[in-house]
Amino acid sequence: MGFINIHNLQYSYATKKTPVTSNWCLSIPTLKISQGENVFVYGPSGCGKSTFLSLISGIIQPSSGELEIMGQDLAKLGSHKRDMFRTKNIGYIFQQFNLIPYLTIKENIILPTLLQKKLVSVENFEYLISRLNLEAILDQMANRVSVGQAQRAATARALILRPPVVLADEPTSSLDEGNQERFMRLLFEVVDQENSTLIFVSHNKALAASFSHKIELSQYSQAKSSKNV
Amino acid sequence: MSRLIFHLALKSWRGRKATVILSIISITLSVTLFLVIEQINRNVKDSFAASINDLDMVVGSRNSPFSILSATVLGMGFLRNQIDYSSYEKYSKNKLVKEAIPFSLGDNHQGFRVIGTLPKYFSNSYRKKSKLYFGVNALSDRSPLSKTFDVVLGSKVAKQLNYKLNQKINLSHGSHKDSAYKHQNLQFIVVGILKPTYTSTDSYLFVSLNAIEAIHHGWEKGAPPVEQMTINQEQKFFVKKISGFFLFMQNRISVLRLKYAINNDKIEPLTAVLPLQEMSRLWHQLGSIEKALKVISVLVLFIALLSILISSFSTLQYRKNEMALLRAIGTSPQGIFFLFLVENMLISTLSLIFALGFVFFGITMLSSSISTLLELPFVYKLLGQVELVYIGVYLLVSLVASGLPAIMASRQAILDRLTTRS
Repeated sequence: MGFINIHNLQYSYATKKTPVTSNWCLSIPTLKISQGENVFVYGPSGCGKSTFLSLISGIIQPSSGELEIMGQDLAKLGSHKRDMFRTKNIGYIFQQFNLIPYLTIKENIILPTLLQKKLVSVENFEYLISRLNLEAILDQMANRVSVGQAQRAATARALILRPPVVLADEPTSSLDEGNQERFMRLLFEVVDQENSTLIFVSHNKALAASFSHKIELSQYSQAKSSKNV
Repeated sequence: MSRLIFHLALKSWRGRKATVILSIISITLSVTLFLVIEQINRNVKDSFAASINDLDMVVGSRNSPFSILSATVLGMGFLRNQIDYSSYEKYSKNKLVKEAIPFSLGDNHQGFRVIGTLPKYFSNSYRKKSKLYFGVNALSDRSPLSKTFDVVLGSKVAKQLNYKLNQKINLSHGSHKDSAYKHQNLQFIVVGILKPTYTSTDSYLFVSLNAIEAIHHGWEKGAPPVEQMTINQEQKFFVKKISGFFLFMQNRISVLRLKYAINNDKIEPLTAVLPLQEMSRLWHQLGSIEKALKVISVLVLFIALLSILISSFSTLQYRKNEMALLRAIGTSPQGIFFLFLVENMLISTLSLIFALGFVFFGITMLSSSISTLLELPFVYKLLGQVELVYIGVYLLVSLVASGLPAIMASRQAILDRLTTRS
C-alpha cells in the first residue's frame, strides 16, 4: 500500500457546454507514491499540472477512479471534511503570491497555526527560520521582501505544521539559477528533516536530477484542446 | 477564529490605507449630510410647533385662516381689519375658555413688529412652558406692561438695536420701516428683555393695549394730531378695537364647537383659526419639498453604500491570490466570507460612528450660532426614533453591500484552483 494511491483516475473539465465524454484531460491508470519520497512531477504547461495538484489536494474531485491519500479516499469526504483534510495534511508552496501581502513574514509563517488553532513547537519554528535564513526579515512586511526570501518564507509556512505531504508548484521558476540551487537544497533538507513527502511540480527538467521518483505527467494527459490547465 | 478574521481584516486595511481612509471619509460625509438634513428638517417643524405650543385658537376679523395664522404665529404679514374689544370680552368669559389674551398689531419700530397686549400675555402658562418667561434682564419690581409706556423687547430686537433695560425709545405708527410719521413725543421705557426663543416672538416689541391707544390718540381721523398732546404714564385709554385674541381652552375637545360658534357670531364677523390644524395643512402643502430633501439625502446615503460595494468588488480581482492562499492554508469559505464582510462592515460602521460624532459635536458647539443663523431653536435630538430607524436601515443596507462581495469572494475562492495560472 502506498502513501498516495491513484487507480484508474480520470478527470475532465466538464462544463455544460462541453459534455463530459468529449474532452478528457487527465487519465492516470495507476500511480503510487510512498511516504517520505521526493517526487518530481514533470509537466510542460498545458498538460494538467495544476489539475494534478488540485486533485491531490482535494480541491477538485476525479470524474472517475480512485484517489487515496494516507488511506483516505478523498471522494468519500464532504467538501468541509476535504478542506479539513487538506489543511491538516498538505503544505503548499506556490509559484508566486505565496504570502499575504499585508502581514509580516512572521505572521505569514504562523498563520496556518492560527487558522487551525494548533500549537507549534518553538524548536520547529526556530529550526525553520534559522535554516531558511529568515531571522532578519521576520518583522518585514511580506510585500517588501525579495522573491527568494518570499519563497523561503513560503517554505517555512508550508512546513510549520509538519504536514505529511508538501506540494510545491514551480516554486523556483521566479528565482535565478544560483538561488534556485540553494533553494532546492534547503527545501530537500527541511522536508527530509520533517519526514514529509514532497511532490514537486515543474516544467524545468534540469531540476529532476536530485529526485528519486520522477513522473512524466504528459503521458497521462489526453487533452485535445490547448486549454491552459 | 472570528478574532483572527477581525485581526486579518484590520491588517488588510493596513495594506490599503489610502483607499480605506478615502472611503471612510466619503461615507462619513454622506452620513453626516443625511443626519444634518434630518436635523434641520425636524428643527424647522419643531420651531413652528414651538410657536404654537399650547395655543388652541386665534381669533381675528373675517379673513383667510392662513393670513391670521401667519400674521400672529409666524410673524409674516399683518391684519388690516380690527375687531371690537367687546368680542374679546365676550369670549374671554365663555365657560369653555380658560384664558383669552387680546392683541393689537400694525405698529412698527425700526422694522420690528409692535404688538399690543395685556400683562397676562407673559404670565400665561403656555408661554411659561415654552420658556418665554422673562430672562434675568427683567425688572422685577413690577409686572411688565402694567404702565402705559412700558415696552418689553424680544431678544433679537434688543440685540440688533442694542437696547438696554431702562432705555427710553420712541415708537411709531404704521407697520413700515420707513413710516413717515414718528411719534417723537411718546417715549417708552424698556422694562424687560425676553430670552431667545427662536420663534417670531424674538422680533416683537410688546406694549400694553393702552399704549397702542395712546400712540393713535388724536389719529382717529387718519391724520396726525394737529397739536402736540402730552400723555402721562397713568393716563388710561379706552380700548375699543383690537386685531384679535388668542384663546386657551379648558378642554381641547370643545375646540371645534367654540370655533363654530365664533365663526357664526351674530354680532361681528369673526374668523377662528386652529393653529395646529392650519400648520398641518401648511406642512401638507410643503410636504413635497420635504420629501425631495429626504429623497436626496437617502440617495446620497445609498450612493455612499454603493461605493463600498463597488470598491470591494473591484478589489476582488487583485485579491484573488490572497483568497486562494488563505483557502489553501486552512481558511474555510465562511472564513473568507467573514473576512470581506468584516472589512466592509467596519468601513460603514466606523463611518456611521464618525458621522454621529461630527453631528453631535458640531451641533453641541455650533447650536447657538446655527440657531441665530437659521432663526430656529436648534433643539437637537441626535438619536430620535427616526434616526434609529434610519441607522437600522443603513446597517442593513451596508450589510447587503458588504455581503455581496463577500459571497463573491468566498465562492470565487472555492471555484478557483489553488495554483496561479502561469
